[in-house]
Amino acid sequence: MSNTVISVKNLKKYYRVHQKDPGLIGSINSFLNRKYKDVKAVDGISFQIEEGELIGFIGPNGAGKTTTLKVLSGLLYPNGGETQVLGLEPFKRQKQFQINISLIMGQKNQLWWDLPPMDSFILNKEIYEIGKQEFKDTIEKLSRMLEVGDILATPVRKLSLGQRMKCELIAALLHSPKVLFLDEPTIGLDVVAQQNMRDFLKEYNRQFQATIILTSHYMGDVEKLCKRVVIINEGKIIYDGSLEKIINKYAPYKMIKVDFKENIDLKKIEEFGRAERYSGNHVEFRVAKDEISKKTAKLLSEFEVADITIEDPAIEEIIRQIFEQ
Amino acid sequence: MSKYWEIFRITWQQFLIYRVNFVIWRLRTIMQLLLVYFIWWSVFKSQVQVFGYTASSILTYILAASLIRTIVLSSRASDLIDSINTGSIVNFLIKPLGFIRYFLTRDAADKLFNIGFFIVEISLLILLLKPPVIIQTDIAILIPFFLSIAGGLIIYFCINFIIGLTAFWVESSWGVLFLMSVFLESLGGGLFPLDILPKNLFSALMLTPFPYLIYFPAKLYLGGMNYSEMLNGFVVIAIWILVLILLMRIIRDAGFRHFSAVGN
Amino acid sequence: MRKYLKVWWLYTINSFQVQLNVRWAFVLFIFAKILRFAAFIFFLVVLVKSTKVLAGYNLDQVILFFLSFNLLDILSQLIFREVYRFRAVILSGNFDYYLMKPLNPLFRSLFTGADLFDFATLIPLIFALLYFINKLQLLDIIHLSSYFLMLLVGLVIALSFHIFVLSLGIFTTEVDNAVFVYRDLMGMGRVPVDIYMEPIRGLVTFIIPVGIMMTFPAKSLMGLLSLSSLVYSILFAAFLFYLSLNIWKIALRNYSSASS
Repeated sequence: MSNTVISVKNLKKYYRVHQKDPGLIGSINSFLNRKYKDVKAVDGISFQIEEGELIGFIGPNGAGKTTTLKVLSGLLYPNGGETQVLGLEPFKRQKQFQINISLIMGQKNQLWWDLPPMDSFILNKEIYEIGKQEFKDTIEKLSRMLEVGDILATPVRKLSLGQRMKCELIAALLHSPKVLFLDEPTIGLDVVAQQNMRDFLKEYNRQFQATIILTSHYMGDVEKLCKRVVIINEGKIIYDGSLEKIINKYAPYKMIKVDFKENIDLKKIEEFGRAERYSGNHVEFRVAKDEISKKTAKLLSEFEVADITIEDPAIEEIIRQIFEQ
Repeated sequence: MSKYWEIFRITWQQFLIYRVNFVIWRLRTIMQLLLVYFIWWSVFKSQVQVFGYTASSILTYILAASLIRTIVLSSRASDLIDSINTGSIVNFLIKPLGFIRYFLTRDAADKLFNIGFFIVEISLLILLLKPPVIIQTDIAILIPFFLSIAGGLIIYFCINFIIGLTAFWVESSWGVLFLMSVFLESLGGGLFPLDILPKNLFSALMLTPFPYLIYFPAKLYLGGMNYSEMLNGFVVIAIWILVLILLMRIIRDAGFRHFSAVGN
Repeated sequence: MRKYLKVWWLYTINSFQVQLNVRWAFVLFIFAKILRFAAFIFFLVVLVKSTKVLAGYNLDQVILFFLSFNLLDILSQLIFREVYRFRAVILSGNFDYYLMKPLNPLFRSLFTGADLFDFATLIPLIFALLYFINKLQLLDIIHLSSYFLMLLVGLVIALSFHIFVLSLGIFTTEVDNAVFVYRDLMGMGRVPVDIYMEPIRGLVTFIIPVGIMMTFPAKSLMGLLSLSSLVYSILFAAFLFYLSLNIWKIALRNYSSASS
C-alpha cells in the first residue's frame, strides 16, 4: 500500500475577466461600466496521486491544467473543494509544505538574469535553510546528472535556453522536494535538450522517489515519462488512467506503412484497410490490432514489398480524437 | 493620414483601459501644483510684494505654468526607449509608418487627453481656492503666448526624442530622461519664475532651451514683457528648434544604421 | 530572524552587482537627485532670505524641515526599493516563485531591493542635519529622542503605504503610478504643512498623513509638537499598519497568476 501524496476532491477555481467590445465606443463603455464574466478554469475535479508517481496533465490551451497545478502548489486560492498535498492545505503555504514542494515553469525564470546561477543557488540555500554540506552534495549530484558543471559561474543571460533550463532545475531541486510540479518544462527547447530534460526527470523520479506532476503540450514528454495521464478539457477531467489503456480504447488499431517495389493501384489493396496516406508506391493503413499478423502475411505474399513497418498510432492523433468527441 | 488617426485612436483607448493609471497620473499633477501654489500663497500672507511680484501675479503665473506643463510636458518618449530595448522598433523598419510621425501622433493624443482633464481640474481648483487670477484678454499677448507654447512643445518633443534615440547605443537612457525631467523641474520655471534668480544666472539660463518650456510662455501670459525681450525669446526658440530637428534626424538615421548593422 | 537578515543581505549584494552593470544610469540618477535637492534648497534660501519667514518659520527652521523630509524620503526609498519592481514581478508571473518559497512574500516584495547607492547620499545629509540641529541648539537627548520616535512613526506609515501599493498591484497590476502618487504626496511635505490653506492642511496632516510623516518629526525636534498630536500619530500609524496587513492578506487571496 503506497502513500497518498495528493488528494483533490471537487476542486473549483473561477476567474473574473472583464469584457470589452472592440473600438473606442467599447472602451468608453467599459470605462464607465465594467462588465465581468466568470470563467470556470477548473470546474469540480477530483483525483488522487500516490508517492513516487509520475503523472502527465494534458489538454488544450486554457483547459485548466496550469490552474490545477497552481492550486496544488499553493499559488491560487480555490473557490471550492478540498485539496491536500502531503497532508497539508496548499493555500495556507505553511513552511512544512513549501520546503517539500517545488514548481518549475518553462516560460519563467527564478534565476537572476545578470548573475551566474551559483548566486541564485546560494540565495535558495538560505531561503530553504539548506546545510552547507547538503548544499554542496546536492549541487554536485545534480550538476553531474545534468552535465552542467562548467556553466555555473557564467551569467545567466549568456546561457542557452537549454542550459538555463538545466540551471532552473537545479535551483528548484536544491531543497530535495518530495513533490515536483512542472508546467511546460520543455517549452521552447530543441529536440536534444527536450530529450535530456525527459531523461533527467525520469532518473530523478526513480532515484529519489519524488512525486512528479507535469503539464505539457508535447505528447512526446507524456508518452516517454508518464504511465498515468489525466486529460482535462474545459475545466473537467475527461480521462484519468494509464496511457496504455487509453490508447487501446481510442485506438484499437496500428499503422502499417508499406513501400512497394513499384507503383500500385489503390483499388487493389482496399481490402487491407482504410488507406490514410497514399503516394504511388507508399501506402499507410489503419489495421485493427487482432488482424495485424494475418494482414501482414497476406500483404507480403501477394505483393512485392520493399519495406514494411508496423507502428502505434501517433498519440497526438488519439488525443485529438478524444477532444473531437 | 488615416493610419495616424488610427494610432491616435488607439492611444486614447489605452488611456481608457489603464484608467486607474491615468486618474492617478492626474492626481499627481494636482499635488505637484498644490505644493507650489501654497508655498507662494503662504508667502503672500505676510507680504505684499516679493521680487516684484504680487500675490495675484505670482499665483496666475503658477496656474499658467501648470497649464503649460500639461500641454508641453506630456509625452510618450519613454515608449521609444521601450521599443528600442525590446526590439519592437523593427516594426518601423518593415512597415510603411513614419517613425517620428508615429510618436508625434501619440504625443498629440496624450496632450489632448491631458488638456481635457486639466480644464476640469483647474476649474475646480479656481472654484475652491478662489485665487486672484489675472484673466488675460489682450490678443496681442495671447497670440505670442500660444505661439511660444507651440515652440516649447516642439523643443520638448525633440529633446525627449533625442534622448529616447540614445537607447540605440547606451543602456542608461532612462537615467538621461530622469535627469532631463529634474532639470526641467528645477530650471524650467514650474516652481518659481526664473527672473527671481541672480541676474547673471538668469541670463545664462535664457540661452538654454529649458526656460522656453514653461517660464517664457507663463511670463508672456502675465503681460508686461517688452518687445525686445519677446523678440529675443522667439529668436532663441527658433534657433533651438532648428538645431534640435536637425540633430534629431541625424541621430535617427544613425540609430537605424546602427540597429541594422548590429541587430539588437 | 537570522535567516531573514542573511537573505536580505544576499539580495542586497546581488542587486548591487546587477546595478553595477548599468552603473552609468545610476550615476545619472544620483546626479539628478542631488541637482533636485540643491535646486529646491536654493529656491528656499532665495525665497526666505527675502521674506524672512515662511509660515512662521525662519530660514534655518525651513531648511531643517526640508532636510528632515529628505531623510525620511531617502530612507523609505532605500528600504522599500523592491516595491518599484513589483509591477514587473506581477506581470511576468514571477510572483509565483515568491509564493512558492518558504520566505514571506511580503518581505520579499518590500525589502529585498535595498539600494546601496542610496546609502552614499545619506551620509552628507545626516551631517547637514546635525549642523542645523546644532545651530538651532536642539542637540540634546530629549529633543533627539522625540525626533527618533516620530521618525519611526513616519517609517511605519511609509511601510503601510508600500504594503497598500503592493496589494493594489496584485488587484490591478497597475502599480507604478501608485508608487509615484505616494511619492508626490510625500513631496507636499518638503515644506512644513502649515503653509497649506484649510481644509487641505487638515487633510494632509491627519488623513493623508504627510504632516505626521514629514512635518511632525522636525516639529517634535523643535519642541513644537503637542502631546496629543504625538499620541494621535502613534495610534494612526498602528492602525494604518494593521489595516495594510489585512488588505495584503485579502490581496493574496485574490491573486490569480498571470499566465492562466
